[in-house]
Amino acid sequence: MNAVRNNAQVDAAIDAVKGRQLPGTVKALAFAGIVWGIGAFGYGLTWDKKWTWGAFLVALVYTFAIAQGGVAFGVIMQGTQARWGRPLKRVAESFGFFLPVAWLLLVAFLIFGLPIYPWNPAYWGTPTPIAPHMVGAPASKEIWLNPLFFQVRTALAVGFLILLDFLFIRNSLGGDLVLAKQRLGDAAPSWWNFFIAGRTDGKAAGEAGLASNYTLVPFIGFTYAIVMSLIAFDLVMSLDPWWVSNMFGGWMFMSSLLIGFSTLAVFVTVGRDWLGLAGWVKPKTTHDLGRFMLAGTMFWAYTLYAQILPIYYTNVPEETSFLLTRLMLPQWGWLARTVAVLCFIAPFTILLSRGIKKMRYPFAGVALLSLTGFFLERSLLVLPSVYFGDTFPTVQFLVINVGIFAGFIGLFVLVVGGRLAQVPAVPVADPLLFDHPWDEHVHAFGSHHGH
Amino acid sequence: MHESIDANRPDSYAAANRDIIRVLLKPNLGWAVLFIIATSMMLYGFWCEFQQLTWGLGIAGYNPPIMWGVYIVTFVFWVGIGHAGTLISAILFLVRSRWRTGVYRASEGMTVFAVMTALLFPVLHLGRAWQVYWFFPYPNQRYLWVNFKSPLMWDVFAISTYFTVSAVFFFIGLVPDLAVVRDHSTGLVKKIYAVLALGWHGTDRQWYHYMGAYGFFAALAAPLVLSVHSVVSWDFAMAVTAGWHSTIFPPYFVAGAIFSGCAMVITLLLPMTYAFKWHAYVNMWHFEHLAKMCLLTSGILTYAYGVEYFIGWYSQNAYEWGIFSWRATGEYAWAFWIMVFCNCVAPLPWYFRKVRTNPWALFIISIFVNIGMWFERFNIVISSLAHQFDPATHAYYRISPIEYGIMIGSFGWFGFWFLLFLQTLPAIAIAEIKEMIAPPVRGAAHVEAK
Repeated sequence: MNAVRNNAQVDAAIDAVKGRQLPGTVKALAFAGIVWGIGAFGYGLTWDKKWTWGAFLVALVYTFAIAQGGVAFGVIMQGTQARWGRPLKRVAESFGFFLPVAWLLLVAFLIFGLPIYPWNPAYWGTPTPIAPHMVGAPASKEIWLNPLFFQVRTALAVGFLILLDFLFIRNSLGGDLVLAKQRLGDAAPSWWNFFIAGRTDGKAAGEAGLASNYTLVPFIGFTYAIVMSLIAFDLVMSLDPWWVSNMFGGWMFMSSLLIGFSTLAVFVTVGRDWLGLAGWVKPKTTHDLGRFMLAGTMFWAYTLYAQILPIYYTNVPEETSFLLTRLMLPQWGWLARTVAVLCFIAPFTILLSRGIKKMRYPFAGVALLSLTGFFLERSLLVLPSVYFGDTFPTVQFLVINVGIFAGFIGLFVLVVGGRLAQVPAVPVADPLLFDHPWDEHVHAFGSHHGH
Repeated sequence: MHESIDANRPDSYAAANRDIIRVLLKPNLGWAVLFIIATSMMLYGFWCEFQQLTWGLGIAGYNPPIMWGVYIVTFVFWVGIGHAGTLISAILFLVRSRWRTGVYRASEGMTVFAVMTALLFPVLHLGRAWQVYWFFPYPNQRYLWVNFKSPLMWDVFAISTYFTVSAVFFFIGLVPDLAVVRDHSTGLVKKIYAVLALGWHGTDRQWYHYMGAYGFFAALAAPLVLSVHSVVSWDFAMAVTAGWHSTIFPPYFVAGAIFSGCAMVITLLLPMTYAFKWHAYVNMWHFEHLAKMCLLTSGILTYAYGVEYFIGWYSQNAYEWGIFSWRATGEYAWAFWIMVFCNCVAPLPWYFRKVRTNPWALFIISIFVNIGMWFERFNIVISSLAHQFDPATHAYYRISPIEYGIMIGSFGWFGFWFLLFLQTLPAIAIAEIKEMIAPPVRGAAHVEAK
């Protein structure tokens, strides 16, 4: 009952590594994005430092979400022993190569961007007093929102998660590279040796890596939930230090997963031919990925609704202010409505279609729509807490925010694409890479009832 | 992983028919003893309710302002138990999870009976149970309407919808199996099952429409899994009460419901598997997956408990932090720590494969989870009411003997229906088991053949 391994297909996936490079156009666009980002950042600092660092924060949490979401996809595939997404696993995990870069950018933000927080004594404005307003309340904010403690714990917590991610990627990739090295010999890139660590048996290395990763899965899952919540509570929610929502952390880490999955959808559809994935990523694979995205989209809306409804219903001023600013003020309301359309209404409606999920470019289009929506969503969470003007600065948004975002995306594409080009695009040592005979059976069953 | 189920697969369609329906309408001694115990518990519950109807709610342990007691706690508990069935049957069907096949029918039965049990409690909690129809918006001469703005009213609609869809989904899944029972019975029994089987003969056309309907109901039922317990959570979250008014409640309640429901499936199915010798259909492969599901949801609950405490502290709200610190250290600290132990600590040994494939460990830990989840609701409902904003209203609630009796009766009521179900309906989905067996076609080699 074991799956039938197609060695020729595996060999082709390994051979495709030879001489593969990021396409010149993509490279040029990525560099252009970085240049635009640097220029926009420099211009932004002369216009409004809080706005600019806010834009930096949006781009940072967004690209970190992509990188982390990609690794999380691999973790989910590993933990559930699912086969359907195995051909996507290597591409997803490769997003993790951006994590060290993201960590450096985070440290830069923690050192230079912290004055955007109103609780910071060095705030670029009038700092908000954070001492308790009520008798008997704990002086928690004075402890938790201490700048040094904030900087150290964020850097360490994110660093710890990245370390676990790295172990996971190393275990997952190691077997593949051992196997590929056997075939490619000296043509293999030298940096592989770090992952190969002197091993020669690809099958054994692959199995050992999977076994180790199976143990790592719960730890990464739990650490992911805690650290991503910490990022949500600290980096984003504390921009408005008197507003709290205990769903906020969970809501952001789940949407971060969705951002990662949508980016994966774009990579494996648009980059299909470049990565030689045509024989691996079939319509049924994107159909399943699309279902995953549909579920994520619904869950995002559900957890957003779960936050808005109790706040709306009880109408307590200290809770409603955060929502009213974003939903009712004319300079932000249009953005909230756009987010509702791009993050939920449009992708939900379109992804209900089975056909769209199986069509390469339309599917990529929906993913891009959703990704655009989440860029605006993160902007909507951050910007109203750092900018208090009566009108929305459209030009500055297009130049500074979109520019910085383009810079981060350019960097992401260069780092991830550069590494991905040099490894087999599918997990060649993974015993679950190929369909199980049951999958054919169950798929036949699924298509029967769906007519 | 897959080898374990392959090795235990029955050889033929006939074996599947025989093994699963042989237990129907043949009560043995063990079943009879359990049925008598369940019926006795149920009758005791009825007697307690009769006392309450006679003497009024004063004989319950309510102590103002604690006017929601064990009835609401147990109501939420049973709604939670009712979650796993639809999760396993609908959501796992949609994601093509194979391990659902052996366990989904009994889980669905559990769901229907658990929701039937839960539905008793709002009636019992009313005191004047004969006025239960006031829950529903019926046309009347005085133009009186229910308060649609009340989350309690949302509950009425959410749970009645959930019950209706779960019951219909349960019945639809049963139709091909009822036909098998019909074809293997005689006389009056055959006639009864023939009516229930709705003329099923397994033709291509019937299967075509059946699978369409089944997929449709699965898609309809899946969001209900989320919505029902979310609405139940809003009974609390919509109130400006410290410890209740929380945005994380909906997903936290849903995760808790799945946690308790899956644990209850283990508690019920494990002994049943041994009693009926159904190891070929339900075995450690299934229980291991259920245990993993419990581990995942236990992790979500632990996260939610932690976040509630963190935000309670971080918010610098004296009332929020007051209730959370009091829960862990005050008069109900025992309930809080039972909850933490049973829900966060007790499932941890399931991380080890040896433990989650050991029947005794599975059974005992699942009992702990059931206890822990009841105490979670106790912790939420009682402690927040006992420790509200004004210290002059702080009170202590003790469960009265009548409330204990009614709660015990609810377990008896659930057991009564579940045991009847085991004797009258196939507790394992015969049709879906057959999908995993090589079809009996002469001379044909099938991909599934051994």
